[in-house]
Order: sequence, then C-alpha cells, then structure tokens
Amino acid sequence: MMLPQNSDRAQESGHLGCPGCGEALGLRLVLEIIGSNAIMVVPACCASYVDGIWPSSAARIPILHVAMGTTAAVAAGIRAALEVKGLNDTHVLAWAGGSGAFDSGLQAISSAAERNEDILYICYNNESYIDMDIHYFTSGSNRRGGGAHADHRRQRTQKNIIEIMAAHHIPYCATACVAYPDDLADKVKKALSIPGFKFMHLLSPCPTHWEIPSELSIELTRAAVETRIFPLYEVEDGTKYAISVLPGTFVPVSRFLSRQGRFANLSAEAIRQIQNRVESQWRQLQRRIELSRGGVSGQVKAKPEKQTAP
Amino acid sequence: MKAKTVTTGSKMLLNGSQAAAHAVRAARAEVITTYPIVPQSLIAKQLLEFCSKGELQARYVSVESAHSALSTLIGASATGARTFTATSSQGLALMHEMLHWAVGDRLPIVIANVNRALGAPWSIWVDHNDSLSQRDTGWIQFYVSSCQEVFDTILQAYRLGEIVQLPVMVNLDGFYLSHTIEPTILPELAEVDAFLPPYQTEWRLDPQKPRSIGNLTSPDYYLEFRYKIQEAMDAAKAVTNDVYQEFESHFGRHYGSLDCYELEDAKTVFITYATMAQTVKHAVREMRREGKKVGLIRIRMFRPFPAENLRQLVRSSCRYIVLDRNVSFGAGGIFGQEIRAALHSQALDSGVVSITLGLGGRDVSPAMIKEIAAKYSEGEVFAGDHYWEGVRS
Repeated sequence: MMLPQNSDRAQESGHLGCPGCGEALGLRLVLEIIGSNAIMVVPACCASYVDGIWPSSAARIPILHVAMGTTAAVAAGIRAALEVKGLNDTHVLAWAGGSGAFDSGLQAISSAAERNEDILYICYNNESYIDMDIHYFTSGSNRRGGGAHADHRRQRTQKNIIEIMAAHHIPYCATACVAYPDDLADKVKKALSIPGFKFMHLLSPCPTHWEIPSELSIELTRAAVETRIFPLYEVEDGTKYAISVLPGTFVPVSRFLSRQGRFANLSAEAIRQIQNRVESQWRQLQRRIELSRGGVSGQVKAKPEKQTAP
Repeated sequence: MKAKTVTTGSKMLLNGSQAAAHAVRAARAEVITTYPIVPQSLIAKQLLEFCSKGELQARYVSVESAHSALSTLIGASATGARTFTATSSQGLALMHEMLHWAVGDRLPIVIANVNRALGAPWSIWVDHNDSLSQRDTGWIQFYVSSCQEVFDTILQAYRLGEIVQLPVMVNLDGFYLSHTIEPTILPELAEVDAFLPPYQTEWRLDPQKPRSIGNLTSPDYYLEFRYKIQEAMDAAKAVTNDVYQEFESHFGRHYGSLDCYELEDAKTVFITYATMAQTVKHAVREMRREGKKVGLIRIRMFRPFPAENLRQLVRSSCRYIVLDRNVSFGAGGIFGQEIRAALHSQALDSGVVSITLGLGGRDVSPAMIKEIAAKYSEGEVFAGDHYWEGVRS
C-alpha cells in the first residue's frame, strides 16, 4: 500500500527525537493512519519529551500526559467521557514506552483489556528498560557490561506481552515495527476498524540505547524480524494467530546482536542460548498458528463423558 | 436578609453513603469509577443501582484499583465530563500520586472519601490521617458531620471546583456517618439543575482544538503553573462564600466554612471537625446547662484553610481546645498545627491546646469531652503542647 504523504502532517517537524529514533518515526506513521479525530495518552517515556517541551507539541492531536502506570486507565476515562458525550468517532490512542506497558502499567492494561475498552494501545518498545535478553542499565557505570551487574544481566528474558494480551481474549493484538511501515499501517488500520481493546507491540529502535549509528536503526530493526527475534504477527480474539510478514530467509541472531554496543559483552555461549530460545519460541508460534488454522482448542476432542449408572 | 425556606423535594431516611450517592445523581455526574473498599463500598453500590435502573445517565467504570479509579477520572474530566469516585484509607493513599496529577491538570473531580484509619495494623474504623495526609496535594477539602451535609456539600463541591478549576474531596466519617441513617432532604432535581449548571470547559481534550496537557515544563514555567494553583486556592475562599449564598437561596440551608455554637461568653472553646463535632456540641449543651461557659467552633473546610474567619472569632482571653482525630508523628495534631499557624500572626495562639484522640475508631463520648474540658480549661499552655487522651496504660 501507499503511505499517505505529508499533505496533512500528523506530526510537525521540530520534535525532540534523536536521528534514527523509532518512536518519532513510529508515531508519525501511526498518526498518519489515525488522522486528526483522535486523542492520545502518553505516560512517562521518551514520547513525554520527544513531542516537545511546553508550550510546544509536535503532534496535531490533543495529548494528555500522565503518570507512568496509568495510561490504559486514563485512556479508558477519555473513552468513557467521549461515550457519554456521543463522540464515538474519536479514536483514543494510548502510546506508551516499554516500562509504562510491561511494568507498572500492566495492571491498568489488564483491567482495560478485561473490560474491552475501545482503545488502541501501542507500546513502542525501544528496550531501554526491558531488553530483548537482558535488563539494560542506562547509567554510564553499567554500560558495556562487566562490573557488578554482568551476571544479573543475563538472568532476564523479556516477557511475552502479546501472549499476555492474547490471554485477555481482546479482539486484536499484534507486533509491528518501523522497518516494515506498510505492515504497521495495515495493522493500525485493522485495529481501528475493530471496536474494543486493541494492543500493538511496536519494536522501536533507539540508536542511543542500542549503541548503534543512527543510519543503522531501520536495518537492525529489520534484522530483528529476519532473525525471528521479533516475529511480525497478529492475534485475533486471543486465539487466531497469523504471521503477517514472513522473511524470505532466516538469519542467525548474531546479525541483530553483534552490531549493537549494548550486546558487546555477550559471549558466544550466550548468543548460542539466545539462538536456541528464538528457535524454540518460533516453534511455539508455529504451533499456535497451526492450532488457529485447525479451529483452535474447540477442535480438540473432549474426553467422552463417563457413563453414570442408571 | 433571611433566606427563603425551600420546601420542595422530599425527606428520606438515608445513611451517609446513600446521601453521597443521591448527591452524585442529582449533580448528574457523567463518569463514575469505583473500586471497593470498606467502608466506602455502599456509595459504589448505590450508584451502581442508580446507573442500572437508568436513574443516572453515567458511564460506570469498575476499575482494578483506587489508583486507576482516579486515573480514569483524570482522563474523563480532561475530556470535559463531570466525574466522581469514592474511596477510603488505603485507597486514598494509593491515589496519592494522581491526587497531585488531578490538581496539576486543574480538573474539578469530586471524591467522597469515607475516612478510615491507615494500616498497619489493619483498622476499618474512622480517623482522618488518610485525608489529612493529602493536605499538600492541592485538593479542596471539606469535613462534614451529618447526612444532609454530605448531600449538600457534594453539590457545593461541584459548583466550587468547576469555578476555580480544582478538585474537591468531601470527607465523611467511616461508619459514624457512612452507615448511620438520618432524615435527609432531597431537593427536586430541577432545583439542583438551577444551582449546578452542566459542566462546560474550554480546557479539555478536543481534536478540533488540539492542545497537550501536562507535558514536560521547563524551570522557566513550572513555578508559574504552581503559583496559579495557589491563586486558585486563594480565590476558592471567596468563591466558597458565594457558593454558600447561592446554595442557601436555592435550598434554604445555611453553610459556612466554620460553624459556631455558644461562642458569645465562652471561656473554653472546643475546635474540632467531622462527626466528633456533633458529640462535642451535645456535651457543650449539657455543660451549658451546668453553667459552664463552653463553646464550639466546627471547621468544615480544611483546604483552603479558613484562617481569616477563624481569626475573627478567636479572643486572647479564651482557652481553645483542639480535638484532632489524627496525628502528625513528631509534630502533633494536624488541625492543632493549622490553627496555631493561623492565629500566630495575631498572637492569638497562646491559648490553644492540641489533643489527639479517637484514632482507629476509638469512641469519643460526651463524658470524655466533659473530662477534657475540666482538665484543660485551666493552667498554663505552652506553644506546641500536644496531648493524647484515652491512651490505655
């Protein structure tokens, strides 16, 4: 598909994103699809300042900036007010970074998803808090691995936020990334066409935290998909899984990891373990897709009922 | 001028929780959030009933925490809806972060806080450390002492908050008021509509006029945002008096930020608040019959603190006994501190005794008030003196 050109810009120039910032690019792509009749909620995250310092705002839609854990709850309140005022055509976009969604925001997300509030929640994940494989410490002393945290850093695996959301049986959840803008646009359009709670996990490159040159941010994001570290797929109603972008060839995880300064201290053994886990997760995803095609758990034969004595 | 006595409406037997819910219905709140906590839950239950029966056209959102209850209202209020939630104790404490946020966004949200002691240890009974811990958040705070006052003050809260663009907390005592039934006059809804017009604000999230609210603000501007909140609080003092007058002209009931009883020739005056003031009033009446020159000042509005009103009432020849169902550890009773600070500039604070009592729902009886009057009416008072009454050895 053709992405809309900037005839009616969704995001003005002059935002404070760094060169190569996936958040700024991702938001522009999303806002161009959503259009002008929308309200956005942003918790504490990069977007809190990338959009601009008061009185400036780069977005062309109203934004309510809120505290870290509250995005989904606030978005639900906006939707509630729009409903009582009969303004049902207005979209509500929650736009949160990794921590606001994965960590303190998860409780409110779960509740809004359970109530199936009519919200599009997009977590743009630059992995500065919740790394692909490690918890990434942003303070200078902990960078480049080593030191007291070197062992701790390998102990965490990123939780599967899409599985968590699918378990809420929301009508739509999906992964996306800025390296595949057509796929991202298609998913946003699809999400907006469905009433209820929609969740998207957007891989958003961050040259600063990833320790990469700005010009590599799209290339490495594409590598995350090609390595299957970050598969692009969607889940409808919590059960119907489908891959949306299947890379022509699968490449080893080192293609994604080795060019990033943040992974500079990973040993060959650690990279091998990551490769194994990525393949295991890919097989799990394949099984879910097969189950979806076969009609999911409803097709699993139930055990015959025991005959009770007359 | 004597206000007209309005007789429209009906008198019903309601507990404080029901009175609160009836007020929210009469105010035509548009978005209500609830998260259960004892002893607040009766308010949520009654509102659910109103919404289910279509007697209140509101979106009723059952959220997963008190924190989200307020966060959701922040979204709704910022979109221009009239909003309400009720909470207690731990719930209010959990909301603390967003209490600040609601003020910073200048949202006229109304909360009924059913006062309950904070843990640990667990207590479900009344004291006021939950709401007084929120003193510095910038919320307007009322403390009420009857079911009628619950109803009336919630209506006043919407009127006041929407004029000065600040949120308002109406505090009522857990069980002593939330679960106690009293005759309560419910006015005709049309009369309430005349007093409280629909909430309309230009400062809302509107795609037609996009603006960002609450974004990062540099040191060049933050101070001014805060100063504006202080200005609104100062303005609230004058606006409150207008609201009381408007309220009286519509409904015939007179209110002030302070409520006085038997002050004229009093030598010893109790200063207290909430339902404890009803007990003190009863005790004062009995002591007056015994010829004792005692009186009562009940503080209804805690933020903004009615310091000017208080200074007009206080005389240097009189002993003032402040009864605090709360404590600021290491400093004393919170009303006691506020009152001393308000009186200090006129050197009127030398006769103020501050007493903490009744925490965690411990009964404060008329007999106890009489004992306190006898014990503290005489003798020297030292600045900062703070006593505890009723502590078992």
